[in-house]
Amino acid sequence: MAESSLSPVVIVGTGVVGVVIAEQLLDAGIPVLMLEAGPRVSRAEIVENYRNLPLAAKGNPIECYPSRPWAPHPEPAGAGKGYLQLSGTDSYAQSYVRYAGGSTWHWAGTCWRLTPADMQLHSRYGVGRDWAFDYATLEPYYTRAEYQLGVCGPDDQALQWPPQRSKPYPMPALPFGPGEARFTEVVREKLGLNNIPTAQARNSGTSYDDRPACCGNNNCVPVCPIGAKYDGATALSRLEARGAVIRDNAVVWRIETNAQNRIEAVHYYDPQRQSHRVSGTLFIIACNGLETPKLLLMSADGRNPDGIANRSGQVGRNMMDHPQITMTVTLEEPYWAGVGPVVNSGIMETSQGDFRAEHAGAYFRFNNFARNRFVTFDALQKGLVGKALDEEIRRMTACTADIVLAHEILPDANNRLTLSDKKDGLGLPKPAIHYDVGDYVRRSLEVYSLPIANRIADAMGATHRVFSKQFNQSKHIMGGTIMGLDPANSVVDAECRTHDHPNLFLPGGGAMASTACGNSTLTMVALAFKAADAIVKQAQEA
Amino acid sequence: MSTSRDLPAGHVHLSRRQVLLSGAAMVAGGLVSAALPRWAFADSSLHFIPFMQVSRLLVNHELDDAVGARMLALLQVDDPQLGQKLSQLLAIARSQQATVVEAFFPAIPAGPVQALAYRIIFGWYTGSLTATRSAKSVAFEQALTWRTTQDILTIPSYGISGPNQWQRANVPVLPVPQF
Repeated sequence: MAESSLSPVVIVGTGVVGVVIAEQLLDAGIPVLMLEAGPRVSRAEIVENYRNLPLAAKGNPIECYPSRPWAPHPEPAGAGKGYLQLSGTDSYAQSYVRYAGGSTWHWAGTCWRLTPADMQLHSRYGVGRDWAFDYATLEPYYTRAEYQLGVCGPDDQALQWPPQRSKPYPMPALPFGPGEARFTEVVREKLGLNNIPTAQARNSGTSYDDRPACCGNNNCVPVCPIGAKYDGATALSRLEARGAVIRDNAVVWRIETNAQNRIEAVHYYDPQRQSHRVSGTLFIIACNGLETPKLLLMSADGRNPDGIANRSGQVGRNMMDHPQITMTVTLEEPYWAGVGPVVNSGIMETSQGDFRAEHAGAYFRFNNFARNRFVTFDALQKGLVGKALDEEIRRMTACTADIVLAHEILPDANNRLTLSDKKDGLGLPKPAIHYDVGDYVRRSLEVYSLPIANRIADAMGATHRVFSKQFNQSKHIMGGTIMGLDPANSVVDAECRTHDHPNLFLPGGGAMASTACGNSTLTMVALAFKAADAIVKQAQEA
Repeated sequence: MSTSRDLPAGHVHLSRRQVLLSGAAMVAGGLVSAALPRWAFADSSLHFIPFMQVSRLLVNHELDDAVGARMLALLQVDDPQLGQKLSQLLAIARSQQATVVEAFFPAIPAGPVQALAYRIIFGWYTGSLTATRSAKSVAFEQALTWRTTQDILTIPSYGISGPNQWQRANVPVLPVPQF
């Protein structure tokens, strides 16, 4: 079914990257059409989904976001079960949602920046890749991202990560709960480590962006019940009020090129598998670091036999994340994780150093989720009743904690997304991902992060410690459309414009050339701002 | 409105009037999930009073009738001998002249009756009857695990304080708050 778009710019995806770019275009007076594979839902629906889950399911954020049959995302049951076809030494078991607003629905809101060194791994340490530009180039875009999302953070430069900043955070840091305060105290006094306030897209002490102040509901993941945390969905109505057209349940399955190898149109299926064609002059594909390369590969044509934007062969390669190990400690004294936001502090200094020539850095995080849901089943299994049961649940809630060891990883072409021969509900190929965290990460665990974690456990007075048995994913999907200056070994340029198609942009985590250790979203948004400037300029010239 | 609290814990034999009253209380209070089949309600209501009596003997806290009605409906589906086992538990408690769980739990013999006792306790503390992602949820806010920590932790998704007002001293593990 042909459909001529009234908008010169078509954005595929309504997550944080798509909505930030849409807003920049609207600011410049350029109309936009946004296509979203999944449904548009209310916050109340997700909150009720969460509250109605059994206790055993509350730990998986995706349980609140059931896939629609036409837009599956990874989930333990339903349309998304088995969606990711995984292979390799390690499991690239990601979670994300295909809903309007995207995966910031269930992010923690953490907004670490990269450091200057994080962007120059190859030139400084001889590993990985350098970025196409330096930190000074990215810094103004970080600032715009922080003001757009509403990021709170400390005023004290000694507590900022990194301290190279051109403007203060728009809001002050959130206070620590008692567990974080005690953790901060013991790692400083006993180990000399600095546990600093997390920069986070959560309103601190005041409203911001027409959203209320955080009230410590301790439910940022899977959903902030009051919208104090930024998520992409909070922007959708504002975009529409400004003239954006948002079409949900529209699964883009093909990118069409013309004789000049420019992008001419995208095609999407509606839930009834009727296909629609939308033309335009500029196209932004921002539908997640995994779905974007999948769509590029699915769209292979005679001019682009290996997929759109894939002359380099790098589309779908270099899939990255922050491989993490969780250390669960049992403590003699109560820490009481679970007061305030779920992620509110971290030890970042351990991510930096000349050791990066040999192994990955790591960031250590005291998880601040209320621990009832993690300990209640174990307490009940002890066969206790009455007062003894009450006391055991309370003791285990107060005196246990999770410390997360999050590692950086290097881009590796063998960590690769391809198209599976298995099909989803619309008959589209499921993504297949082969993954191995690599020796750089494993060596870090052996000689660096695990020893530090053990010292942290000792400092906390741990009487028992348990480590996860394998690397788990942090759900920070990066690398699949990697950025670089050389079209022979990268997919997009410094503006996230594809080397192969001058009117196609792929902003977001896929462009990141290194991961560092901190969460990727703020960098994705900074890249979105940088791309948006180029897109606006290109649209105005057109 | 009559509730299960109107009856003494040791009262086992139900009159027709009491059975009708318990059913009326549940209907008036909207206690039964619309998702439950009609037969489940009709059958569960027969055991509602003894179920709540057993529950209050096993779990010595304020218990919500509505949660109890939902839990009972699920138990009834799984266990055709439920009424008999509830009677056995009440009889054991009565034989020990118990008013709290510590006073009679050791007298419950290992086996199906004890398993039911543990299951009922499990249900009240977790809000579901199994530790599986597909378990039916009968309670969230009323699940007693949250009550054990109510002096310091919010129930996730609810608030315990105002903006930036959650700094506080660590509280000791004991005593457990009253609930």
